[in-house]
Amino acid sequence: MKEIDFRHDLLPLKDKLFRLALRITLDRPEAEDVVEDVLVKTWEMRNSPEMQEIKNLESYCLTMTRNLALDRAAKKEAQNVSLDELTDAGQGGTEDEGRPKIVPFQIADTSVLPDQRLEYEEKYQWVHDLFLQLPEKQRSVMQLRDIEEHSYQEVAEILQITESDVKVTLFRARQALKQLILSTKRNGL
Amino acid sequence: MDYKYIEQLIDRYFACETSNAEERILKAFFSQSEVPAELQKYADLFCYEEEAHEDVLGEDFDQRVLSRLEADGDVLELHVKVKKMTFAERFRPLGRAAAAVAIVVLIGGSIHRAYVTSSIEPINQDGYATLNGGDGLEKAKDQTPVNAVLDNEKLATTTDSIGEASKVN
Repeated sequence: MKEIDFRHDLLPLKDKLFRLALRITLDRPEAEDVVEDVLVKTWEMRNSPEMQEIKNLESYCLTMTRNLALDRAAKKEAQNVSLDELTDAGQGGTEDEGRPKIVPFQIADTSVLPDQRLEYEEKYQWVHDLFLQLPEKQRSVMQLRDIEEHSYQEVAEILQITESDVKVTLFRARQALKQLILSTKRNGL
Repeated sequence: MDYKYIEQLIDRYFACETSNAEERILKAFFSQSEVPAELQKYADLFCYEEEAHEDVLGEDFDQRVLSRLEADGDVLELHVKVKKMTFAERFRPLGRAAAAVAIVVLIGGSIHRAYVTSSIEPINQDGYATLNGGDGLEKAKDQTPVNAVLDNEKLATTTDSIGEASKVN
């Protein structure tokens, strides 16, 4: 890989990376953070020997985006503490007069606000919801193949799976969507 | 209208047998306003795929990343690359420019000279002579102004005499 220029080689990848990250995190600010981290990390590693062996910078960044997004999604999952655990934590330590002290705990509402929805999401809301029903691997394959129009070989390289695995996953995703579409339409929606 | 081809493509799409180009055909087909009722149910899927591609990050994101790099002390040496140059290297572009100018002047000069000399030089009759075969050279040599006038006079007298002769007859 020749010398990398931040503005010309890395920054133009941001939209594609963002769309993949968004498919995994399902949260725009989170996806933006992932893309920022990927771009900065790749840039900082530009002179490392590992980077010299990279043939396709775009695939490399997409792979890193997916891995970081999966990490974040897993961490977020771990942060989702149940209410029982919260009251338990409040009881610990500060127990005076035998009465558990109630610690006020506020959880941020992270659901998407209506005005944050994009036009295409609103217009094709029902398709967007169908996409959300797919597992992450299928969503990512659909994103790379059907939306970004990558070849099977490129998708396999990015997701670090075999080409036949890509085909199988894509087949399942498309079949699932087809079934969902037909059943949705049959219900008169 | 017959939508067999599109129906076939849709079936092959769900069976994962379509190429990237064929999938683009489907997207293009469904992005038009008139889609037959029986295919309408698939329209939103392909339109969604097409429009999801337009989801982009704004300028503020660029600013955020660039300022983060700057904060990390990583000033992008993108457009200004400091490079040590020797004296000869520094003047190399100048040399190139001079060479370019020299070429233009030389070519221009030679064209100019060719043009000027060709218009000034008298018509060379040698060329004309060789065109007309071997004896043309002799003829051409006779073709001095004086000879031409004399020839015409001869011609005039002969035609006159022919006229006179015919009158006599």
